[in-house]
Amino acid sequence: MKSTFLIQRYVPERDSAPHFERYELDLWDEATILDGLLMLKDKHDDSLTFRRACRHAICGSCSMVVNGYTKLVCKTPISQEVRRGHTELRITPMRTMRVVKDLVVDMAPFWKHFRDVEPWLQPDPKKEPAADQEYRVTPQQLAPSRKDLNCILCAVCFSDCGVTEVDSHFAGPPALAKAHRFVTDPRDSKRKERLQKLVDLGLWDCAHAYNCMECPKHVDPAHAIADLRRLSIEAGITNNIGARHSQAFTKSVGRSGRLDETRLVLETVGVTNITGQMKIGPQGLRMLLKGKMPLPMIHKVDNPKEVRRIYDAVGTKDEQ
Amino acid sequence: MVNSGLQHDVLVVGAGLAGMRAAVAAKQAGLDVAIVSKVHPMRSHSGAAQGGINAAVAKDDSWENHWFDTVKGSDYLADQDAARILTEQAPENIFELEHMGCLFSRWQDGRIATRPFGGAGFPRTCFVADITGHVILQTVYEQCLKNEVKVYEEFFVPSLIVEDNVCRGVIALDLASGEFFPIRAKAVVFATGGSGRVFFKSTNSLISTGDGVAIAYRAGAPAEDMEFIQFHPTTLAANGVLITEGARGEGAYLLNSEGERFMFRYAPSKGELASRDVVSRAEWTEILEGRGVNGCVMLDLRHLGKARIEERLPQIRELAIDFAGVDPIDAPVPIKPGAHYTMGGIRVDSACASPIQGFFAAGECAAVSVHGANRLGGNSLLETVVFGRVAGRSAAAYAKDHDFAPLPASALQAQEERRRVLFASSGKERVHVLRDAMQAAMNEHFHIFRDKINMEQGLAKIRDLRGRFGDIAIGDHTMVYNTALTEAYELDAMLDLAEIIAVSALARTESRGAHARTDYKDRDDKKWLMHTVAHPTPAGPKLSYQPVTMGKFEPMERVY
Repeated sequence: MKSTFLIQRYVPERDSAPHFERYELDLWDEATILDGLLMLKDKHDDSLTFRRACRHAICGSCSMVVNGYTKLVCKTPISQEVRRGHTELRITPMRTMRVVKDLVVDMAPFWKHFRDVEPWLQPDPKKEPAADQEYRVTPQQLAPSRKDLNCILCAVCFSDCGVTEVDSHFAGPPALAKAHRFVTDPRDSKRKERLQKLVDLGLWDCAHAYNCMECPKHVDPAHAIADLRRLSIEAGITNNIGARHSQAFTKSVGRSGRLDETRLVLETVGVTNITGQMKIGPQGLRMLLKGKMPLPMIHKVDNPKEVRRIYDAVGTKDEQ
Repeated sequence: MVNSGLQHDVLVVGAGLAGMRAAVAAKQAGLDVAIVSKVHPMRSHSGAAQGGINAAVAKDDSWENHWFDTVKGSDYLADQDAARILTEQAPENIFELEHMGCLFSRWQDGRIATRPFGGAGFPRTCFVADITGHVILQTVYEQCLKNEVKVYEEFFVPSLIVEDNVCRGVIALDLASGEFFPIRAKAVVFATGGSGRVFFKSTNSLISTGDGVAIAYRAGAPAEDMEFIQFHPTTLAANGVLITEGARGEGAYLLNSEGERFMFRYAPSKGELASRDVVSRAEWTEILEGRGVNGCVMLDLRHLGKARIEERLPQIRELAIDFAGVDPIDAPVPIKPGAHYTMGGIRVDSACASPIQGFFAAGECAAVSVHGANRLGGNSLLETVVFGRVAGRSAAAYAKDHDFAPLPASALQAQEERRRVLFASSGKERVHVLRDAMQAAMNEHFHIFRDKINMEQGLAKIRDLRGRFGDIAIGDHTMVYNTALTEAYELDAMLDLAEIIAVSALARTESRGAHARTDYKDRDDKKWLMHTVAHPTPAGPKLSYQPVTMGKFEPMERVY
């Protein structure tokens, strides 16, 4: 199988700016992109630089952007890219992080976010079992964090997340998935403190692009984030824009079957938050004058009982 | 004398499980501790361990039984005092990991679950589905963060500095800048992992190049029992990726081309769950005698059912789909034996201390020796945590009683010069050519079955490659993140190890554990119940022999 690799190269001591180099390779049909890169480094140019280690998707080293999406290249067959319609493999370093050399990026920001969620168990010392005993944890109690455990910290989702790209404050999907693993751990004693901290680290900043669902290890950080939000409201951490927005949304639809957008905005900012209301006031007024403001007195849907029934059903499911 | 300003009471090289466990132990002893690692800790190969970690945690089990299984599995070459520490301290280490946060899989009653594993008389392998190493690695890394252990991430260590038999520290190359740093330490712990990459299609990570053993050896620390290389019975043919023994632990069958569960001909009572050396030899015999399927035998999980495979073995299912194009729910997976584990390593006592003052080793790079001639599945993760902790405590105790010793300036200059020469070389040899030739030679001549003539040919090839390495050149002469340079260093180390393995294997005229000779088929306890110890000389490894520490268990015929 003939393949064309178009690789972004950048050697700081040599290049003033990144540039692309093209390589033609003849590889076996099942070859992965990593196989191709290893062959290039061996036989064409040993200065080609990238991280790699386990070559079977457990160490998380070899993440890079292939034809626009970040991939773990050890588990991405070249044929998969061909099937997606690509005639060549355009490979660039991960996004959001500074390029050190070729495809190697400085992952310090990634690890800082990881560290910020205090990723270690914080049990109640009084409840710690004796040295020859384990905590009793049932398989059912393990279930909520099972997917989180798969995370290999490869940063694929971190690189593809639209929010991490523009907001260096946002903890990002992997750190939040890691946090979810501890928040849902029955042995941990700091659930509420953790959730409060996560709100400060941007729990409500996720914008639901769901790029992180393309996870090479099926971790599903988007679900972890949604679950953390739910748990934070459940824990009474509601004095923040995200929680108010979510609650106002739910309330509005539950009440009338429709979204009352004006009220949504007012309640999201906080009805008693006078400063906040004054800040958005002028914009609201301009929208009203341009006819862009929906009237607050909206009609209910024809059968609000049906909406109620859905709410009740979902509510029941959540409790299971 | 040089002083880069970098110094720590205890310096750990390697950030896999053993290294991080040692660092946490030394830190908790109140010392200034740092880890140096050529990769980020979470990239370490400990994370690839799948099936589990042995400990007699069940109430019907006993650590004495685990002790016996380990000694028997080692073909009686393990030091029984060390194997006792391993097994006796296993349960407390498991509970300690659990208290740290490791989410072991559970029984319905909430206790830690166990599964059967090869060579074990009881189902005593604790696990986290089939990502056990990955989750324990996370747990111990979490403890490093919590305890604020300093990590020099992506610093490659090309040399260990020893003067007057006292360890002084290391030289470390900061990959990001290309700068060499001398780092002084009162005590140094090597936890640099295995050397599986000496072989072709190893299960090991590309980083498992045995640098630590080679560097220590050059600095005067002898290498023990290096001829014992474990070939894991179930690896994928395409790329050597591991399929856990946990698959057989959960009940998978091994089938030959005739659909026969052949293992019972070789191990009448244990079948597929005999120890790894026995299963790999059986598979290879089937293949050699024409009952293989395209050079493989088949691992059949289908009867386990979809639910159990998805719950207990999800990772290996995905690996089989990704790298063999087979879903084990629907079809048997072609597998073959592949180089997997280095039983030997840096010779240390049961406190992890080497003959060099202030120099310790733990984990796969060390020979404590708890695995002897053959390691049991589930005992390597155990060794990393038990002896990682031992090494950390030993190093801490040593560091408390000793001061920093001066680091000679020549040590740094030697590394600068070595790189300068390599950059200036216009030699015609290339790293990948020699590496591929070495791996092919090792697989051809030091495989599952060995004999004198074949091994002599292999040793000659390795020595020829060592000679050719003198004419090596690399194309990347830049300072920043030069992996062409580190790959050359790694090859240099592997060539040393290949020679030690070859010389040690040739000298041992018996069959024991993973060292099976067709010209000396029997175990010879009279002559060979001894550790091989290789010492560096300009003419190559010089061997001496040291007695095995015996104890409760007298050598018996080993049947499964």
